Amino acid sequence: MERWIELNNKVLAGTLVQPQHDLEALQAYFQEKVNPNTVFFHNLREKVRYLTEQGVWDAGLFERYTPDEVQSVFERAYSYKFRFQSFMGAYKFYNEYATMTPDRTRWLERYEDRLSITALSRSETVEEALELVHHLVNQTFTPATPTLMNSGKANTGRLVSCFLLQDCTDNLDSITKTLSFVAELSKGGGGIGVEVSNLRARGESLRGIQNVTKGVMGVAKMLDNMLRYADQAGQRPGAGAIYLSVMHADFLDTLGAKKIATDEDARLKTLSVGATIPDIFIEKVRAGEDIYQFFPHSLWQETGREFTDIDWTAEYDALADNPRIRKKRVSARRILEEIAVTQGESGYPYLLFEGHANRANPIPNVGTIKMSNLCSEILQPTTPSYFHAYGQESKDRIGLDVSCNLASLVIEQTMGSRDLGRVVGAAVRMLDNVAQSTHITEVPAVRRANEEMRSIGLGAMGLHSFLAGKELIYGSPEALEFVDVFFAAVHYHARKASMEIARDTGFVFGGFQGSRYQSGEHFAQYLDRDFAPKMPEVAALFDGHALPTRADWEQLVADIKQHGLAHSFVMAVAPTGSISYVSHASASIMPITEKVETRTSNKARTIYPMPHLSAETEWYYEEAYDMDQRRVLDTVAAAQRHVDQGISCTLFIPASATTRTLQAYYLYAYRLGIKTLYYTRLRKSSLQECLSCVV
Amino acid sequence: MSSQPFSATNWSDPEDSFSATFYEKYTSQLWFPEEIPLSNDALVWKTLSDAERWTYIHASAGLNALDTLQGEVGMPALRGLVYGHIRKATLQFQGMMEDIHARSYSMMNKTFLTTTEEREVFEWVRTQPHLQFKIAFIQGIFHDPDVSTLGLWKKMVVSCMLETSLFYSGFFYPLYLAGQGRMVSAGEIFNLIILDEALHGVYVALLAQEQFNLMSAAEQAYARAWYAETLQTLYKNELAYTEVLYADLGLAGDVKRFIRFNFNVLADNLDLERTFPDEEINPVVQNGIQGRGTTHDFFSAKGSSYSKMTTEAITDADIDALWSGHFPDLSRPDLQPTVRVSHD
Repeated sequence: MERWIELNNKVLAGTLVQPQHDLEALQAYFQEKVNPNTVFFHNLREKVRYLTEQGVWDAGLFERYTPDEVQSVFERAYSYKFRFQSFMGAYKFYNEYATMTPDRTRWLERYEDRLSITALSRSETVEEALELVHHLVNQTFTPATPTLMNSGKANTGRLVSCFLLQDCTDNLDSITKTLSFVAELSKGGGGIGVEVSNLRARGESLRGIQNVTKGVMGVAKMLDNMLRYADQAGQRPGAGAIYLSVMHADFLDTLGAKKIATDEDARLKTLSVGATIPDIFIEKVRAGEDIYQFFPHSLWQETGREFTDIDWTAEYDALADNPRIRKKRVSARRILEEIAVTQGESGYPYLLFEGHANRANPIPNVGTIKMSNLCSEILQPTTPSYFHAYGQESKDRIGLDVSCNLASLVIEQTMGSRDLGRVVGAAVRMLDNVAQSTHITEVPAVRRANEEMRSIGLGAMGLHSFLAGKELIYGSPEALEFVDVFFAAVHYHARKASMEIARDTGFVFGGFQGSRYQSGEHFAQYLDRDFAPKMPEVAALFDGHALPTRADWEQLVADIKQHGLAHSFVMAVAPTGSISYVSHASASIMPITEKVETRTSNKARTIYPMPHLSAETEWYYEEAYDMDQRRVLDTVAAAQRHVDQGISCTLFIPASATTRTLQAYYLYAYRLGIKTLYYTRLRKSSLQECLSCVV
Repeated sequence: MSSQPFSATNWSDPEDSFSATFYEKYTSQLWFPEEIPLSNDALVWKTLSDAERWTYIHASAGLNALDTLQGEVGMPALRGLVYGHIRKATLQFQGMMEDIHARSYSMMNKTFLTTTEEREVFEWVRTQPHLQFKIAFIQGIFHDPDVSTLGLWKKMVVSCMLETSLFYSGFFYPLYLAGQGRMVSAGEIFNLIILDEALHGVYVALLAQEQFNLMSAAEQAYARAWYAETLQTLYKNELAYTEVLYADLGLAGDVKRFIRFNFNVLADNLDLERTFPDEEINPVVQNGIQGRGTTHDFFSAKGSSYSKMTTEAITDADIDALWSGHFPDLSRPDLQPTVRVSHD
């Protein structure tokens, strides 16, 4: 038993929480583990020579800079005297991010080394690298895990690990192609969303033979197995989600696959499921009416159109009235209830409100939004690819899929910088570099989209820990106003940086012409009013920050018209797991789940007291399960107005909640215009609670 | 023809204040081992040393035998003797849960062992003297023809001893490894089992306390003495069993402290004097037995904090409230939720 794990576990082992043990664990971890097991180099030159010779660091990187420039970046990184503030942060960083010897016994990089290398490899000039290393070391923002982990390495993994594939169209060539793409992406530890609504349903015809097809589940099972088979050399398994429309005849079958007590052959072990929900479905729920679910092959035979090409809300009545299209009738409320049962029991499915996502789509000229990703924050138009058999590849048509280039602002440090614009600008430039450095040649539609659309997703994390530190209540009017003003300002600066990159480099993303960016429609709300704080408590938080005014926006909208934008999308709020521990921030913009978290992963069970948890802040650390979830949804809705893509939004409910509660939250979220809902997490009543209501 | 008319179970008229709650809790946390991707641990299994593997699999096999004993002998014995349909139903459900636990252990064997190894482990269970002593001793009490208040209390007490104390020499190692991130999927199964057993121990202990309170002072004095003696007999046997399982790993001392800790929990549940002084137990293992859901990465682990969902239809009034900018009052008492126990 390692002593730091034991000390860390002591935080919770007594009758009172004892955060001081966490600092003891942190100290023991450095003194007894990290420091004695770090390879020593006399100077940076020696370190660079050794690590490039050993094939750890990319030698090409050091040809782009002079030794003095490299030295200056490392010196800047070390000058901040960064110290981790929790055992969990240090443990995560040194276990998952810092490079070790191949036998994983000794470290080759310290925190500052990893971030210096990241800054050098994600920059073009030393000035940029010096700026970037400042942000990275001080954690004003943190790149997504694969970027932080793989930047600057010779034998590098990918810089991005989240993908969306829409090519799964309804023929065997396309299905096997999708499986091979998934395998390729999964072997790099990717998280992959696959849209499957075009697949014919169970019991449709195949080559005219009736009632033979195996439906969505057949493909889903293969994806489920493939993702577990092609893991990242045993480091971590791939993960995936399928997105299926509630209008699809196989929807309830697929939902059943996530139930906890179901036949092994009808179960999806690790594959996640997302439900795409058009407005028409919610209308039927509201009216308490039945809805038809459609059989895609029959639909195609009758109309010649793929399932995802249908605008379900606009075309529903005509399709429902067409007797030649096979369909089945189900109560819409019953489907919503099944969704709630399955979510309550298994966490899935994710919900994607298609209508909201598409009404806010800034580039409808490129395509419609049909799906999301594994964490439900990526919302971009995709277009299908068409693949043909061996020997006929020349007929292939490559559509647009998505790879996600993500980073998250750390709200506390961003606010503490007193220069939000500088932080956001640096983050966007780094993400631009990630997009330009990524070439997923194995999946042509991903590569094409990345090169033409160059979408990025800047999010934020540490909202609850920031608010608690400022003694503000999560979800209170003050907190909601903060979120509104903060995300409006982030949007402004992110879009401005994207425009500047377009202006300075001449690169404008494909599809800007004819977009709602070009017409200015996408920015209408900012030309309408100022997003400045009204409450004095909130205004005080923004002291020292220059917030964008209506005049600033007018100028920006004009500049965008003139110069275009380099990125089809700039924002997305990811759920943030590992990087929020490293950055000492609560996850994403969600409330904390526990004041002291017990986290189980494949590495260890670790205990994590929330940032700055003390007798004073404890009161502001209300746990998510104890909250009315409207506070979470209001928070997300406030941010969503400014986020061009989506936000991972988790619902937290106590075990006593019923499906009615969940359905009320879904509809409340829909009414607020929220685009997606991620997991539902349910807290079991503990033995103590159980006894107290019994005896 | 029976002289007594047979009545139906009336859940509106429970025979006590707690059995129905336990029944609901059991149904809400029903799980099956197929839900946990055990094969995720297959590669980790290969990285364990021979000694570690030996302890892991034999500790689990011993638990399999004890859960089989509870499911097959203990629960039917108690169920036959307690009064009341709801109590009988609750104990019967509990017995089924024990069988599911036994099956989980068997699935671990199937996943990690070759057929020959598997056969050897089951043979070990049949011949391991300390394990067989423990089983025979408890079985003797379950089969004891004494069905007086005292006799029933004794049966309940040994059942609690299994649930709350004697299982834990076996639980220690999986908790210890899972706390260090090894054998995490199997660790989840153990977590689910521990959540179940914790409830079982408390439920039967509540029934036992009732029986105890029915006894005269003299009977109670005798019962206490019997408890102390039985506990010592089983404790000494447990120490020897612990040596067999854990001496090679150098963990026997930690496990013995853990056993004493759990015997004290047993005394608390039964409302009897604690036998042992308080000791600090291994914090990693202690955090492993705290019956709360843990935060985890959904993509690699399933988590012990999920349970069955209660359905309740959304109403037109709810919809109207939402569409007029309000939120429905969800705490209306006129709509009593029903527990969902089957899928249609």
